[in-house]
Amino acid sequence: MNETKRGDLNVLPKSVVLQAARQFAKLLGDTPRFREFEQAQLDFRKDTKAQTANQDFQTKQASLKALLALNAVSDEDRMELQKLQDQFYHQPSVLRYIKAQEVLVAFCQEIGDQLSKDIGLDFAASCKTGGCCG
Amino acid sequence: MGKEVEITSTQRVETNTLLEAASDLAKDIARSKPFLQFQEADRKLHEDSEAMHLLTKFSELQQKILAQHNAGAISEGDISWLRELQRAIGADDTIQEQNQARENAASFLREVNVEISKMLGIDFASLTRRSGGCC
Repeated sequence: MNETKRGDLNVLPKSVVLQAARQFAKLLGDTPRFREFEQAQLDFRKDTKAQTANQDFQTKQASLKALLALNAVSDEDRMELQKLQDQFYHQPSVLRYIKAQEVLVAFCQEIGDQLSKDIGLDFAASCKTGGCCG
Repeated sequence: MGKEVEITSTQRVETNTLLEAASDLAKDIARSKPFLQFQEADRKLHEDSEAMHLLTKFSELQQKILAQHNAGAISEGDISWLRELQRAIGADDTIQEQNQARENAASFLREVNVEISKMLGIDFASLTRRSGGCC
């Protein structure tokens, strides 16, 4: 971390820092990895087959919620649930979206580590608000 | 821990560009008022041997009690000592000023994150998080 300089000459106004943040965001938003994530997300949302597969899986899972909590689901239902889950996760748009998300997260984690190291505070942890998942 | 994702050489160049941009942004953040104040409060704390001693003792005792808890036998004496240290920490101006300054700096980081996230349309900080814990 930089040493604090005497006097306020080196203090950057908030507006300047926020402007720098916007420039940084623009740079990140223009990278092929971010664009691929956005496009994959959009295509997944527009993919009716993937959305139906998701809905079918969610509906089945919700219907078995109480039994799942008690670990009392029948073999038949368990297999059906597994089949619906597999169907969802094998949709091309889902696979692409998951992959794009993994790639983007790994990219952003590196960036976050750099930010944290340079500012001397954990960026992600500092941005959490309230509770463990805030 | 994050998954290992293989990247191409083009992506490595792009990563380096973004890491440099992150460093530039960090330099600007470090020159903001909340961060300069945090750096100053942190420096004062590290120069205050009494305050640092309190924090070290507290952390050591916390570890000791955690081990006792795991073993199923917590010492009442240690608990009282921990409470005593907690009170002393709460009454120590240098520690409290550093705590407050760190919270102000974190609050400023949240504003920076909001600005970035608004542009991206997704919470940037959550993308940078190396998970672990409940989320």
